[in-house]
Amino acid sequence: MTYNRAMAETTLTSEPSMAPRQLILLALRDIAPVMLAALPFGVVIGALAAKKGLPFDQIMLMSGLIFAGASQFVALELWGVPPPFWLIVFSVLAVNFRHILYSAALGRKMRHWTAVGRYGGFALMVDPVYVLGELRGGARLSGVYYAAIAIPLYFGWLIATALGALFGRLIEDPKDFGLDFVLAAYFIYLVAQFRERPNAVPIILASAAFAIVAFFTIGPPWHIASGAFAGIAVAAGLAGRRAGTVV
Amino acid sequence: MIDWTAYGLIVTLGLVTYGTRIGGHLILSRFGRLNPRLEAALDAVPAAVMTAIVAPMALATGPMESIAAAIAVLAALRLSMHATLVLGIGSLIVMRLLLG
Repeated sequence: MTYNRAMAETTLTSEPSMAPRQLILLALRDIAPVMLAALPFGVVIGALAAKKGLPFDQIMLMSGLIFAGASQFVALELWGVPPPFWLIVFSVLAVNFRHILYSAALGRKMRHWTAVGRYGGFALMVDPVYVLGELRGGARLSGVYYAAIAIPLYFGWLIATALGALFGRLIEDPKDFGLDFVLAAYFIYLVAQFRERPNAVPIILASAAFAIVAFFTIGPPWHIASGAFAGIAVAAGLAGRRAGTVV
Repeated sequence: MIDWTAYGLIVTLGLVTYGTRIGGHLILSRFGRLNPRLEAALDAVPAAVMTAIVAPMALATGPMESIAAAIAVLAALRLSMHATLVLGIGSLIVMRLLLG
């Protein structure tokens, strides 16, 4: 039972039977390290936006409406006076394309939600919110749990962006504290939690290999789509065979 | 003069992003029952996408980052989330201090 031993934390799925208070505590514990990682990232985004000459209200509008750090970073890198409208729109679409996969996958676990809850919830579905939803959701994702991870992260992101916009110049290099690696270590942990799903090892290897090749050939952000589709294709190709995941 | 282009662009980017966040669900909800291959493909989404995001960070940033990533992988297979973060980030900080 590697599953239960290694996933001692994650077997606490957010069952609808759990009390709301338990769900919220679990959610806050899950989202705390994400907020630690998102804070310096948000500060960097806010500082970059201010450097590009965006007024404070536009910076906050951007974080409030897009709420997707990597794509905001790409948009700001391309920003100019005037901004190249369609280039930025298509670049953001390319970076955020993976959310289509997220909503297809996680939507299956949100069928018991009201339409308002579901379409409101999707607005806040950033990478860690999606992955925690998959990890804790089981077949029916708890709306209380989802709200309790997504809403604090959303407001944390707004606060971090505002801090960066106002005081960005004072911030030291996040590398000094290893903060640039928090997200990587956290994602590595999350990937490992999916290792008991069917064919996890070939899926992960295919994704990593294609992502690295695409990173050095086509270049970012296409490594994400390349790796993702390689892994998903492996999963579809192997579907139905005996699951042979041994780690 | 207020720059409406910038506001229009930001709102467009918000709509495009929201479109990606509901798009997959809108397409899938038109099907009643999903075929097992599609179900398997969707079940692979978290591991496949997360791996693709993290692979260059872990393998193509630098030797110290790669070592720290390897330590994080080992920790993630055996230990808790907090232990993974402490060992992964801690090892990188120590390496940067000593070799940096």
